[in-house]
Amino acid sequence: MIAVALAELGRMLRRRGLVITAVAIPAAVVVVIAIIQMVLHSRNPQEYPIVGGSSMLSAGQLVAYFLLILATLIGATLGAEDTVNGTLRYILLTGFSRIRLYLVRLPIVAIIGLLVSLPALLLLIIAAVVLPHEGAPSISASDLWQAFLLFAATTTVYGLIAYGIGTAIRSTGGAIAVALGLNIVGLNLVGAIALWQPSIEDWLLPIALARVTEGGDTSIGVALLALLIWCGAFLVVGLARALRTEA
Amino acid sequence: MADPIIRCEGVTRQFGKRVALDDITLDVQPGRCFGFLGPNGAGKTTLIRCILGLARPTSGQITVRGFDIAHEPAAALARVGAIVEEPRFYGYLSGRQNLDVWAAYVGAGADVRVTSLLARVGLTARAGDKVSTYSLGMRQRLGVARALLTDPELLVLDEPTNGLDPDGVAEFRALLRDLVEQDGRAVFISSHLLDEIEKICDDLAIVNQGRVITAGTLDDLITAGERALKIECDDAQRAKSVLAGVPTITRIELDADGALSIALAPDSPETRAGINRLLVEAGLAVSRLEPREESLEERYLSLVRDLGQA
Repeated sequence: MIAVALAELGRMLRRRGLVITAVAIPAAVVVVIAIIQMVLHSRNPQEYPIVGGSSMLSAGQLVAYFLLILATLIGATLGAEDTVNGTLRYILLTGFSRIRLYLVRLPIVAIIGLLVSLPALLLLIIAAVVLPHEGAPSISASDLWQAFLLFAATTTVYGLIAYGIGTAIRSTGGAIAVALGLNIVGLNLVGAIALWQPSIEDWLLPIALARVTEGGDTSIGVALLALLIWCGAFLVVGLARALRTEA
Repeated sequence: MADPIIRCEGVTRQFGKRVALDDITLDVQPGRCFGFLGPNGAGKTTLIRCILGLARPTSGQITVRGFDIAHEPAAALARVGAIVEEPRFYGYLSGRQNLDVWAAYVGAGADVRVTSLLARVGLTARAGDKVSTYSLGMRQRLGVARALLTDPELLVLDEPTNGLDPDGVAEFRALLRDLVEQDGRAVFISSHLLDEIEKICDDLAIVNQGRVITAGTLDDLITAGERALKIECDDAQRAKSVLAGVPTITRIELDADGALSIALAPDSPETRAGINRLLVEAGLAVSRLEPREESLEERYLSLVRDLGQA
């Protein structure tokens, strides 16, 4: 299983177009945010005295939005590619079972998501340290951990959901459209649902994800359980299809 | 005779009301090249997909290497390589990187065979190039290299020379014969190309509309067909009318060169000498009477024709 996982990881990382896009876009977003912060500070230091530190780190939420899209691309591609490409049958002919194939790619989704978000995270931390933030609390290990958790959890959760959808739909483009539609339209829906019925908001995906990544005094246990249910539901649908698809 | 490496018993596959495979029964022996010959849409790919466990028969049983493919697919396929429909790869990886990925799936030290297999199929020089830049012939050869990763006892190839140029076909044919004769592997090859099957295979089955019309060794199949004779005499028209009275003569044709071609049914008691005597007794001067070996193409066409008449 480890040899296969490493081979799959190497294969996906050699998809240069996808990987470069996934690395460059969030990194570019961080650079643009840092430039805007610097311009604001240099033009009006009184109004914008602190643009580094936790102010810069908080921009991670915006970067995470782009990571959501890119994780969706990665997950959907990994889920649908072999069926679309006609390579699934050749994998199955090696005797490697469908269920093992499906399971071995779950950690790959998370690892690739994390790897492509690391440059953006590094740039975000550098910008937070370098940009002016005199008088503000210094960046703590907890702040860094939360930034890391935000990026890692976003790419993992949305990547896994897209992987399940990609496997179920068996079309990379279709899976990307459905996953993005669910994830982006879902964000707006969640707001409406939370306003309408606050008692169920703990179980809504974006809110559960925010609670896990932001920490705080609310129950992390419920939020983690909600994430497990959301990911699990889509992954079970994908698995059911993976076991039945004719290669 | 050794145990068959593939055994199909009463295999039927239906898609709704359409019967793609109709009670297929055949054996493929180890160390032989078996051709599965039939027109497009005859059910060749469907049977291959069933043999490889990629699709399930509606009824019937298939064993590969003695294992039931439906219940023990991993054991059945442990030493089987295949190209189904066309060889598909990750175009963004090189030929070598592709084989490395599949070697990881195969396990059991398959990775150490990658270099030698690339050499065997003549792709060493292009092994580092992306597969998206390969010609179809190169992808077919890479497909064979991938199929050989499992050190297979059996190779299953679905229309492997489709789209290849004449040089590519000749190269591929030589490679397959080498796999059978040098390595002792069994090869199951489907094709609609009669000439290809005739040149590559030891045994074959002819399939049409999902049914096996006939099966056997290539030699047996050709000799089991009608016996044909070419006759030259001083009055071909009269010879034609004389021979028309012989019930076991199935076909009489006047050739463009003035000679007469006749075909005798396989079970006909008539001999060449008997035919000659008939003509001489009718007052005809026979200058030439020689057997004409039926090609696989003629045999195939006569079988399909018989089926159409039945």
